Amino acid sequence: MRSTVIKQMLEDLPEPSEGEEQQDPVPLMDRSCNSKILEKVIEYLTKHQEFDTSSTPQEDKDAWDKKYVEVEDEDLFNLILAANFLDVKDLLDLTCKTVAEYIKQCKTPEEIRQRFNIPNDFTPVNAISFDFFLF
Amino acid sequence: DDSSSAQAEGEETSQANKRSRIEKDKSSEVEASSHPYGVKPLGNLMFEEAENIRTSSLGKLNIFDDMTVIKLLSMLSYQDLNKIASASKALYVFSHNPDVWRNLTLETFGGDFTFTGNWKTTFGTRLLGDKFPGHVPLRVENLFSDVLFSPWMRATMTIRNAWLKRDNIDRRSNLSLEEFVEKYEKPGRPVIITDVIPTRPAQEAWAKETLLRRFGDVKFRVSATVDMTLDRFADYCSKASEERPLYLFDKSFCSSCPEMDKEYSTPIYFQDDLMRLVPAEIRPDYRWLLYGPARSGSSFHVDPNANFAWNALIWGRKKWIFYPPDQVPPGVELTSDGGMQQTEFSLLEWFENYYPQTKEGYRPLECLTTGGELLYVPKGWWHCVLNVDDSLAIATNCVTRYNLLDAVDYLQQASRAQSEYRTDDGDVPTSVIYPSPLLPSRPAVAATTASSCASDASAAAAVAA
Repeated sequence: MRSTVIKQMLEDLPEPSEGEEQQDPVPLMDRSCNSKILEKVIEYLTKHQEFDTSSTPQEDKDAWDKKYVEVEDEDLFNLILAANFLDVKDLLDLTCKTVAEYIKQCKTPEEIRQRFNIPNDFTPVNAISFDFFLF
Repeated sequence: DDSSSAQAEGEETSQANKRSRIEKDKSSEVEASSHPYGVKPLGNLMFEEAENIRTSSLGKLNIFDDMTVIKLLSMLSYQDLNKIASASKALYVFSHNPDVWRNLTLETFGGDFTFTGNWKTTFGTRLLGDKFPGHVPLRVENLFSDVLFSPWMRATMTIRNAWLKRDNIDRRSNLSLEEFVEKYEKPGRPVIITDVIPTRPAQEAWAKETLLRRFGDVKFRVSATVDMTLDRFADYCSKASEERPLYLFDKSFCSSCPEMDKEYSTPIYFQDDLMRLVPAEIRPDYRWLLYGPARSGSSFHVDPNANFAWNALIWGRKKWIFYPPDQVPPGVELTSDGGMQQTEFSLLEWFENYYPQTKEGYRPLECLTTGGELLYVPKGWWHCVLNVDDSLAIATNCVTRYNLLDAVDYLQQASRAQSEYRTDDGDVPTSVIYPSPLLPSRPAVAATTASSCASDASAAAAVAA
């Protein structure tokens, strides 16, 4: 069970009475967990379950993962939040590394700003005393 | 009196450690203005007429909570970290989070660094030597964050006397073996024995300056992940003021320093250690040299393999809290399969948030051991340990006839299931000796599996029985 949060929630549910199936819904309360993102998380979990049972080679897994994260920023960021909330470590690492890769592709601070809509809120005075970016 | 001079030395050192010692008081304004990058606690937003700059200053990244931002930044190279630090004020402050630079330092250089007071300059100096341009923290206004503020506050505040006062574990001297067995070992009660660590020669030969002279360039395992020379580690201890300090926790000290092995002997109470009958190459780790600065320590755990332990404190001070086997300490969660779940928060955080619970409800056993005192930790008991000053100790796990059957049972079970407690090479996992969650959890060395050790050891222990 890759999501420890869901696992915990399932365990916390009361036992169904004899003969009945587990009916109680598991509440997932986090704004990132809309149905679109949840489906995407389930897609990841299902696929990696398949990988595990059929001993897929690592390079194939990596290739699938790479395509999986080719989504818009908004979805990628919500995936990070969902993976964090549901405590799916592999997915969290994958999605965070993807964003780290985007940062890496930016050659300058200005490119980073443009990529992520970050304002340059330093004052000219700040800029004089800065020692960063010197190494 | 050697133990009090060692104590005074410890106190001096720990006072020299603290650059901005702040007693926590009601007015967080005082504290807030002192954070090196100007960060203020989240609660301040309620009474300050200001907006949290992170909303604008993080751009699209504002969707992420503080921990996730730090997680992202911790995946960057130092060059990318410097770039993103230049992007905006909020990113500048997040990028200078000490955990991130500590992680970079340890991953890049292992234990081969000289701590200079903060991790960024430590990294930069190690990387560039004289060519490192230095780092002067820029204070930013209106950045509110508990994730950034609280660790700094816990790193610099003094350890409260209120946490240290309760001391209700028996102290004994002239304790016969028979009385120890009947009163403490069989019923499983902790006890402090005050007359087994000789004042001379062990405490003199192992005084801090002496140890540095003798073994300064010997490497020891630190925080289960890097190896540092004793010189460098002692230097780190004298300069660092961290919420989750590095902790020297070395299981091989008797092979790296054979003289140390000869300079201490097992007290009579523990000489009947049946684990010595297990061949050395498969015996689980059982003795450690422990050296840590103030605030280092071990979060709540139960010693594995149903062993008991004795902890001989040579110099320093350790605060201990004990809960009996059937009483899970406040703040500790057990995983659903019954395994131990280490708390995510630091020892200091535990003290801040949970220590008050020890006053109502279940009362734990507590003590503050000082140099020259040896503590017996009965099997199965939950305990946590906080180094109040720089401290040096030896800890040993053993099995005598009184816990042999439990130990054999445990090992037989462990050989069938993957042990959650041990890392592959049998070393104490970092989750117990609580470094930052960002620290890499695997040491660089290759390992033998705990479960194969466990099955061999259980077979051998059964033979010994």
